[in-house]
Amino acid sequence: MNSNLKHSLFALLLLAVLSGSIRAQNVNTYGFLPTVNVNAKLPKDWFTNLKIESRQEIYQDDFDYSYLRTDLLFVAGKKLGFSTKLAVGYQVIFENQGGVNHRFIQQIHNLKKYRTFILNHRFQADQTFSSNADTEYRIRYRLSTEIPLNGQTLDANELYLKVSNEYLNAVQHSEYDLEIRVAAFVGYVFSPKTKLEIGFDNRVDAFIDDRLRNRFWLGLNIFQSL
Amino acid sequence: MNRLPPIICLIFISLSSYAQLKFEKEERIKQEDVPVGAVRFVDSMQLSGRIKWFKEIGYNKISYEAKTKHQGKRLSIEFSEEGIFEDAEVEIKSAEITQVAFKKISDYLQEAHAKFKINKVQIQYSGDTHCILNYFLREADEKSLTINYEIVITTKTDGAFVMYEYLFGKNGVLIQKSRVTSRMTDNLEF
Repeated sequence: MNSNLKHSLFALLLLAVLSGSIRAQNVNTYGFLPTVNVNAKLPKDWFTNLKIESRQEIYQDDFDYSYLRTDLLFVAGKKLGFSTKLAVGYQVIFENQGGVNHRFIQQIHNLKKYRTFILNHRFQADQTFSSNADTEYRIRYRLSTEIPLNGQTLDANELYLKVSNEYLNAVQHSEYDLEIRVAAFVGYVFSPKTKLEIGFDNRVDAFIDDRLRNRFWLGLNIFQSL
Repeated sequence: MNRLPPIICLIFISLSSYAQLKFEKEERIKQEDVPVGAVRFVDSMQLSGRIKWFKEIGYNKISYEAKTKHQGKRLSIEFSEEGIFEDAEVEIKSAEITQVAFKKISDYLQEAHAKFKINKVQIQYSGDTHCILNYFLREADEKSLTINYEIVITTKTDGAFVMYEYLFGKNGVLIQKSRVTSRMTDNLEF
């Protein structure tokens, strides 16, 4: 399959997902999703990552700001090969109304560096425990790519494009749901240890029984390695 | 300052660290931004493939590189800041290294690393520019050229996966070894 055909297929798929969601959507929300990630490399290929994420909604049927939640995620893992990493994590979710949810995460990912871009496959399982709802089990797969916008490798003081597509299969109280995420970010490398990204993250879920929910986030991500 | 939320403090810490570091970078440039000598040299090689030009800014060196495909293989030609030819590298398979040299290289790598994988092999041509030109124009063989092999491997050292770039001479004698620093990819992983 040549690259032009691949690009066309990808564009068609993206268009189909987005246009499908727009036609059939029942609930549209818009908001901000800033995150800060701090990553530390440890001896013998161990690593940790701390992520803080905050969700703020600005529109649902009408403009109305509301703070939704803040997530704190801690992940620790080890390299299994030059391009494969295994990690486990714990996430605590502080809801606006005072509820606290706990999520346990297991993930494996494989990152391949090509001449002009990087491709990452991430498989993740998570279990979310809440005091007022049944446990939610999810299995998810994310394909993401990073493409330098100047030159063949991504260096300091350069811009890049990051695009990702994720499929989340969730089961809660014996009910299945699917969530599809498409995200596109433009990033800037401040230094080999610091990256900043801004872009959109579109999440469509409640495909199966409920009204379709289409969430459109404006994201700002900071990544810092120690 | 103590009124700032922790998240804002983290942002400031992240961005301020950028000024304290020096970097190495490569950027795509237009042909008109390349020293004339380098462009003339590449033109005289009569390469049929599309030429892409890059500027490489190192810790204490600036160089220019032309990249293209030549006879189905990736070719890169490196020049100094003044546009003077330095070397030409062609990506090859391990099997294309001469048998004698490959045995010596393999013996060295097996002794140095319990387990390793060869990721990339390049044959590097340098020497007199006329000889280089004649070789690429198929008017001379490679006997008059200086030939080295650049080999990138992945291995495990002290319990961690690392990448090394080796430079071996024509006969498989080690010339140089350097560790390849891996780039930050946290933004794709988390």
